[in-house]
Amino acid sequence: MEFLLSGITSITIPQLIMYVVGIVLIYLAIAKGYEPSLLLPMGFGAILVNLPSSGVLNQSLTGIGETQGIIEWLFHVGIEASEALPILLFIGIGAMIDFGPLLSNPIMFLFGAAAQFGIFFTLSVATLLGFNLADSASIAIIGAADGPTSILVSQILNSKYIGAIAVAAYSYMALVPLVQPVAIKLVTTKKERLIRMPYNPISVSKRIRIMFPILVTFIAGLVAPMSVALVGFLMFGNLLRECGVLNSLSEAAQSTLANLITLLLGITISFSMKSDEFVTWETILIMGLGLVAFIFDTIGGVLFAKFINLFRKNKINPMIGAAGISAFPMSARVVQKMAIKEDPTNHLLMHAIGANVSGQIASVVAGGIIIGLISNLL
Amino acid sequence: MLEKFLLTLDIMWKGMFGIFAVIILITFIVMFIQWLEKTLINKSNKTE
Repeated sequence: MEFLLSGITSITIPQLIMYVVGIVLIYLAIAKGYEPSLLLPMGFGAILVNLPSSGVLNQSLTGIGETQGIIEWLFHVGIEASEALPILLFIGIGAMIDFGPLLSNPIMFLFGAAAQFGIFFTLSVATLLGFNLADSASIAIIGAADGPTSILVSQILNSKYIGAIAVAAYSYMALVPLVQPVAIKLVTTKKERLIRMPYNPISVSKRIRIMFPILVTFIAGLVAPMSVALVGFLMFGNLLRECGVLNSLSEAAQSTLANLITLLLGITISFSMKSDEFVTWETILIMGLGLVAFIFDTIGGVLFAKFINLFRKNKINPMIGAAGISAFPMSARVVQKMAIKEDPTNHLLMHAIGANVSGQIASVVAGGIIIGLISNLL
Repeated sequence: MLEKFLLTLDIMWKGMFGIFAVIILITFIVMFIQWLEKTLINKSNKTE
């Protein structure tokens, strides 16, 4: 009978904590609808990898020797060896994005860049809290508001906190509607939030839509070569969408590929949620730093919009700056909601969407730049 | 600690400068192509 009870008797307190974490993630995914496609597999995976002598991890059995665990294998092959899963997901993301609102209003490009400030601010704070440079940069990249980028950067920089970073990145992306309004109100006045912006888009030809992904790949690749894997696959997906001759591939990338990779990515990343690595004080600090990153991204974008207004006759509503983070389309919706709340006739959605898709490019460029800068220093 | 902090400030300006450099370059090229396209279309319309 003892062998039947050995599993129950060998459960440790940190493992129990991880079961609670797993159930909370599943609850948030189902009941609250917070990034369910990622948080649910991660939550379930957190339970799977923390069961005593779990068969989803490699085990050494007496008389048999080493056995392979599926989640450990997926992690080594799909993330550790090649970063294939997060990179492939970018094809799907690229195929989903319509850069039209950005191309028809190119000034919105700038807000994507400004709203990456939280990454670098958090890098400094994490260093002050005692994290080493590689871990600080990996934690800071939560501010890219882009789950696959966070996973990729922390994996390349060999951070041991990849599990906590992934959980923080996806949780805060889901919490954008709660976090951003507070940060925006902190640095804007009611008068500024009431600024109206007429929407006069330039028509965007098919030729420009096709040239755009190729152009971005060249520029990002030449200026920040480490960003090529991220930007290149994002833009490849977008080229599939815009070329007009590969509709079935574009649809497959948007639905089948993106869904399959998302499912695998969630369950695979749970490998790094083993209790001995996850139940630490550092995890709590990382969750706090993730919040700092999102708040300062928002503040950076808003303050940049205010700065630009110093030189413009037609003022920009500073809330647009907050939409420069990569969390699409939540961030644009937050700005639209806040604008309508202040004045029901003030519609900023199309401007905000332009800034929001710019954030998607800027966040992957930021990821590449961080990898380049940090790897030179290590 | 202070040395590491100063290093992160160095990374901050280089990183933000790098992102803005890429984004501004993309913006200018997109605007240039749009202007070029518009000019060429106007020219061909005039000749017709």
